[in-house]
Amino acid sequence: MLILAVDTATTVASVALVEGERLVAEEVLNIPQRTHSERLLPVMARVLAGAGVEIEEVDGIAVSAGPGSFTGLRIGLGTGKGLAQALDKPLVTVPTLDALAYNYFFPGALVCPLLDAKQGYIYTALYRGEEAGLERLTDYLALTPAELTGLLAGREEPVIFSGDAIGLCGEAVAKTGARAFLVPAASRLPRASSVAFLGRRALEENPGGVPLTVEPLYVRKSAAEINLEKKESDSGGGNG
Amino acid sequence: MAGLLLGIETSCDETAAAVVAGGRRILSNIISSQVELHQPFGGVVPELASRKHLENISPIVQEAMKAAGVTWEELDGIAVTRGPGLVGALLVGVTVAKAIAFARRLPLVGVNHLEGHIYSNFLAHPWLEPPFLALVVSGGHTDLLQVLDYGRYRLLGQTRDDAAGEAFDKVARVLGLGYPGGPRIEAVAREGNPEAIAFPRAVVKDAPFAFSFSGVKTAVLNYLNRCRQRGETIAVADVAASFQAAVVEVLVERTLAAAAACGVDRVAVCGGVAANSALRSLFQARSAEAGIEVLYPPPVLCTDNAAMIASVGYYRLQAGHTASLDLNAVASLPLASWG
Repeated sequence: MLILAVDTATTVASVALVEGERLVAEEVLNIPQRTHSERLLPVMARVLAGAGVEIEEVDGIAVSAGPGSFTGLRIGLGTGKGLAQALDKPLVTVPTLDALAYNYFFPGALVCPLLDAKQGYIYTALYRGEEAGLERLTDYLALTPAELTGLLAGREEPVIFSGDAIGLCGEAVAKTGARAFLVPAASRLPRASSVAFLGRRALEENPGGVPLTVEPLYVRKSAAEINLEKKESDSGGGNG
Repeated sequence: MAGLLLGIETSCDETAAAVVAGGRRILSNIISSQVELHQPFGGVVPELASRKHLENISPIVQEAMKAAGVTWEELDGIAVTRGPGLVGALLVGVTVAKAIAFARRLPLVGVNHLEGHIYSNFLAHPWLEPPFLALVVSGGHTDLLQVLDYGRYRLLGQTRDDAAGEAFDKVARVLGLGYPGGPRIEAVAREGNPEAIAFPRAVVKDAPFAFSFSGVKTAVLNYLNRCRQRGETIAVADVAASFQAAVVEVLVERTLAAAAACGVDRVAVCGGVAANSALRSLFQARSAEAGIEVLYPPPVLCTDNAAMIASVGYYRLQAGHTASLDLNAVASLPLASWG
């Protein structure tokens, strides 16, 4: 089964092609100056051409669904939807944090992927390596770095930190002390290959894929909705 | 070729897809409005619009293909609005269109939204050919231009501040009529006296075909404040009718003057405000005297729609103007002749 995967949840654009357990081709572009809109399909075209695969041969599309940059998520998922619809192939979505944690499965260790959510927030979730694989212990969260420190307090396992927001979470890393393991810089970037492997698993469980009305995992509401809710609760009610 | 194009439009708060044959014949025209989503906010919220577009786009495209009875193999190209508009909203359409074009190996055409509004008249009037004068009047634009040929335009004037439809929205808000303002003001104005209050008809110095609508909006605000200070009851219907009359008169007079100056005897009005009945009746009254024919699309083609995008796409494709896979959305995209 050939899976084509994309990840544009952060400033990184990545496309990968996997067949079974084999990573066939992957490209990772970490150049924030160009938008995902401009570079995603050219990257995809190069990956397919490099692998000598025609787009029609792909059996399923996997997309990194967030949390992440709202616009980036929409470009990734919009691309996945267009491909799935035009090729009549199943689409699956993979939480971005699951994909970031995927490569760091060590029984007994925690994995803590960290993504910059801007405006003083990070996206994270906590995972623990179990016999069968990584188990997610928390929801997908939007936290301040201080709240992350609280989330990790009282834990005694080793913690593997990954993602582009490690630098924003210095206190949490410091308090983890000798139990903290920082993934090397190049490996902190989201990789579409991880999305592809998790996507393949999702497709095995659900061969039809998800409906094309699927939304990204935004985790956070829009500023306008937050303001409206605040206004309604300040004025003592509202209608919902 | 039959020239079958799938059009996609997501520049503001309508998610739309359509299939058009030969740039002129609408096989399907599906529009999903987000008005209810944005109503509590009194205007379009860009992030919510983008989210809704992404949720709706695939079913809308599917419905357009199904209603047209067209398969992917039969299509000759994909046309998509790339600007102007809300960049996040535009990106949804652009992204999906590119993916479909890539997957089906179809030519992709990026379309200017304003150009789409002009071409809605080609859909409505299959006999229509350039040259003619176009008035594009909507919530985002008030442009007067000469359509010299397909893809050849000469801008005569545009608004210096608010678009006409934007002025309608803002005045509707201060009158407590809600959103969207255009249809609300039009409805209330039917019960009012358009001559009750003399709101200003702004002229732009040294630019005979330019527009300015922020002055009339401010005049309405000042009028309402004065009434409130004096404790007078506000005759909402009269204010709405008088405001509408001021805007409509400027649009009609300046357009007909431009037609006379250019020696053109045909005017195509388009965009959301083209659906306004007061605008249509004044055009009808004044154009007859001037010997000028004024055309409008039906209301469904005045709204943002994808059929008009597919129409432009057909002519651009004929002229060899296709886009590459790095096509991007552009929030401020001026209407330009094809290079």
